[in-house]
Amino acid sequence: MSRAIVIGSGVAGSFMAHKLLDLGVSEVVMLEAGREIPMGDPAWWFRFVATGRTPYQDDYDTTEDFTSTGYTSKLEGPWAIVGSRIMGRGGTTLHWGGWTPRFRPEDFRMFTNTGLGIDWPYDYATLEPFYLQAESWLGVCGDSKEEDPWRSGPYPFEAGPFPLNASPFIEAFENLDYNYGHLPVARYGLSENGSSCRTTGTCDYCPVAGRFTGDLPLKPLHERQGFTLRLGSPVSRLRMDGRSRVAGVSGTDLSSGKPFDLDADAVFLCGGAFETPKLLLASACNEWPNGVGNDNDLVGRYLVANAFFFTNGIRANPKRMTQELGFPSLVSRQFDTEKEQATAKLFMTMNYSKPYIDLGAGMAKGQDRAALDASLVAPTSFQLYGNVSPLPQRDNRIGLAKGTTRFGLPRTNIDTPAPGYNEDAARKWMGVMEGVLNKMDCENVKSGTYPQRGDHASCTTRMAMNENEGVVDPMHRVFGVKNLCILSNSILPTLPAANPTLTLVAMGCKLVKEQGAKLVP
Amino acid sequence: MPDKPSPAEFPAFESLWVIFSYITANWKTDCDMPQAQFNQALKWQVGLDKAYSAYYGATVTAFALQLKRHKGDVNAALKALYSDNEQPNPAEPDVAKVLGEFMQWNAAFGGFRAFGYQNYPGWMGNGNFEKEPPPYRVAPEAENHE
Repeated sequence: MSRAIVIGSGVAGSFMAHKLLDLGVSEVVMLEAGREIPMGDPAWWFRFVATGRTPYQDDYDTTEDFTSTGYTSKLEGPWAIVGSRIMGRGGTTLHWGGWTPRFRPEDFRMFTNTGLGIDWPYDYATLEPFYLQAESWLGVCGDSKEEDPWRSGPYPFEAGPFPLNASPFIEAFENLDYNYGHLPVARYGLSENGSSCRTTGTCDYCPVAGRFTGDLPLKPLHERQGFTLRLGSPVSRLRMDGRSRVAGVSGTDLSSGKPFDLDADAVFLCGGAFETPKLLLASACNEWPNGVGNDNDLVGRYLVANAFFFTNGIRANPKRMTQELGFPSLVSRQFDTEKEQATAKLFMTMNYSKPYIDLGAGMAKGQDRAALDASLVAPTSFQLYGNVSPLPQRDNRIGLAKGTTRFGLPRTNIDTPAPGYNEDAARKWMGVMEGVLNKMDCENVKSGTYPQRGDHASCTTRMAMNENEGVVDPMHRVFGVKNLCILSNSILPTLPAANPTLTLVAMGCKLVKEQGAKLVP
Repeated sequence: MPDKPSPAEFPAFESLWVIFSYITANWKTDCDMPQAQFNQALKWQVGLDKAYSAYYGATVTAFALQLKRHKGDVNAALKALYSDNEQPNPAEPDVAKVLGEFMQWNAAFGGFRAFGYQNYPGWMGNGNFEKEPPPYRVAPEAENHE
């Protein structure tokens, strides 16, 4: 008999639970602080189409749940993490866009190339076979002919053609001699977890489970012997048995208000880049007076997230372009190369939801048919998005704030005294994106930044070769604790410009392949 | 929730369907939402939020008042109902909310096609494009992108 505890029910937690059961662990208990969230529910979908409201709208952090000091850039205030993560069954991929690009080879060698951050313990070639497995797990579609970064096998599904509203961007990219391609997304076909896109354009709440979301792998988990999911069960601390072994966890059952203790042979922290370091810090004890795994004061440090900005322009629309595909498709990684790594890499995508002519809103404003028809061809917005790679900064960190959230978790303290990204480089990229829109004959071209919500937050218990540089070893074990592993964005050694979820799953695939039964000592 | 509408719960299914159908006629849309699906959607809305009973009730009442005002002329009553409740300053916000949601459904469930679009948020397009044609207009440049 062996029992593993998995903390968090998101994409990492459900992956880990499946693999542990595959490896013969007799009991896997998943603990999730949040509640059940109805997904794929037709009633909610009709509501979403009518109002845009989702059932997880109330499951984000609120301004009451965190304190935040510092800044992201000189233009922006402190982080405000409202809207970035969902506390509930399935986790944050309930709302994600399914963006699944791979990191590029140079992203694994940041210190060697730039002197910033640290290198990953392994290179792209080592992770590449596991990227293929992760793409299968998530059901990714992409263009298998694209070789940048290189790949050793095809995508599970080929990308569909670019939509009509991508054509002016494509023309501009070609005129500027910028590369472009299909953005890999976890959509279109059947994944190992059963999604099947119908291109409804309502991806924030899909009626047919048409893209990977964190609830999908939970469905078959419930049918597997030995699996238990406890919702409303926030974990408050890890209970140690000496210094090198975790004995179990303590938490609270929110439905009864009663505390619980649960023993385990191994514990897997899959609660994301905020809750994972917070739990280690909250578990300070005689053996680990500064928090578990925190003898070197690294837990919670190096907090990063992608900076996001947009460039918008107004352009004639004689072809009545509008959002017909409904999810991202066109990307340029022209400036996502080793050359830009020391300052800021740019991951540039077309805003897939523009132009968008909201017919219902036009009717509601009293536009008659002729006015509506005129609005379809009137000049309208075309937009590019930019993801910018962040700067690893030791002083930027996550910690514990006083008080408890409605999810029974400690409030979050975010302190970011150091700049989160290179502002000069970001301004340069805005200029590049404005150049694309100018090439498209857009007028009134303007750029702006989004407030830092902590989307893609990473690196707060980063992976390293030794405990002086990181919190977990290359086998995901917290240094010094043999049965405590982490699978979360918090273990990324560095975060580049591309979205991290595919890489996280690939890291999980590598862990399972290389550790196997040793995962539960 | 019973399968068939209960008169006590939904005294005005037919009225709401008439109000909804005006969108198709007035804006010449291609909406093909069946009445049974529309009724189900109303029930779902009330099931998720009981306040929708009041919103729908207010809409039916407003329509009835317009009918009375226009001496039973249904088209005139509907025209007045919609024009009185245009955004951003509707006469009755609850009624405008219902009308606005009906417009979104109408556009999404087929109405968009009358405007030359091939797909629209809310429309069940198609998937797995390796086996079936894409349900959206395709960029001509993309055909040459290899």
